[in-house]
Amino acid sequence: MNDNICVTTSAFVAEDADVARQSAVDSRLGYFQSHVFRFHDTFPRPEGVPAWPTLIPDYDLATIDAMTDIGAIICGNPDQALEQCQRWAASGADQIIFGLSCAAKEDSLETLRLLGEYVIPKIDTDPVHRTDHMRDSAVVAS
Amino acid sequence: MEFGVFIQQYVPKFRRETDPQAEHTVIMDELDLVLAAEQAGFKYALLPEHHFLDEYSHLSANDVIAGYLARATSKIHIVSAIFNPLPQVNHPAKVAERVAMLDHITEGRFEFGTGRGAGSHEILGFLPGIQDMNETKDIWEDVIAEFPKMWMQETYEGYEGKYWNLPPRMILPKPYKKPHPPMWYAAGNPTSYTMARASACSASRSATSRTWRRSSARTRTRSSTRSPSARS
Repeated sequence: MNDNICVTTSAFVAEDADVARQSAVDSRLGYFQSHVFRFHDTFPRPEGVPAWPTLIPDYDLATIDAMTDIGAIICGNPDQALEQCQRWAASGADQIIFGLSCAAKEDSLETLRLLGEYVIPKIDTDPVHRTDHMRDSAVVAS
Repeated sequence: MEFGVFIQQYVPKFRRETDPQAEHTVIMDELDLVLAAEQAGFKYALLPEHHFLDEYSHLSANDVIAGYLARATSKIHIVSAIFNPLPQVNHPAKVAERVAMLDHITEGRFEFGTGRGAGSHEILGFLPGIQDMNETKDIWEDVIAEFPKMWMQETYEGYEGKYWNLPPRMILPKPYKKPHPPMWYAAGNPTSYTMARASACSASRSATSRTWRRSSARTRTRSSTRSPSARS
């Protein structure tokens, strides 16, 4: 039996939570989201999302905080990122995947480093990929 | 829960205004980021295939990126978040061959995700005649179950369908690890979960779309590596 679901989102992690929050603002997620709904016109369009070429306004700190609170993005210092990722794990997600497109490269490198040092080891304790387990199980079952 | 990264070669105009080589910069930077992700312990790198999507995604030839990453990395799994298997975009036999080849050069670290195109702009580039984008669901369902057969049958039995045909042929190479690479489906709306479940693919979903609900994380899909004969 195989079952699996993963979730994709964005992550902004820094030693200082305010630096992470500002990185999220600077990444202009609203502009990115405008393109999501510009091209993915088979996606359900949430109420309030304007039609292209009208842009979703850039997100301010308050909006970033609200998005973080509902789990739409991972944002904060390593302790906060750990708590936010644990919420996703508790919801049943098998993988969480972070888009690296929006943040500045140096910010993304710092996010990756901090998640790798402080978050991943506390949540993903299996050195084997889940999909390898699935594949091995499929061989045994066949 | 495991961790992964997703690249798509997003080249917004505001970056182009400050960097005339922004497209090249993004392409090269994202390769560096995947290598850094592997170093940090991330398990998956997802690479979606998209076409014609100015600014949003310039990652058209994701098989080329996958081929590079196959030998530049050693642990991270490389996932074609989307290979587009619609016959009008990529012939299914060539997709099956490409996946099996990537399975070899990654030595079992490649995973096969599929999708139908981002929306009407991308879909109509390859299927200019269709009126309803939902028709791509029928085309996808027409082809997706054939991939395990192409990999697992010594000589693929061939296919005659509404959208594509292939006489019996050996599809080569065969995958490196048996039975075949894991299969994923990019799910952008609720019916896509049903499609993923029915076709035995795992589902991936964006959390930043506001219609997403946490309860949907429990809408699990089945069996990413089952043989067609085992499907119920």
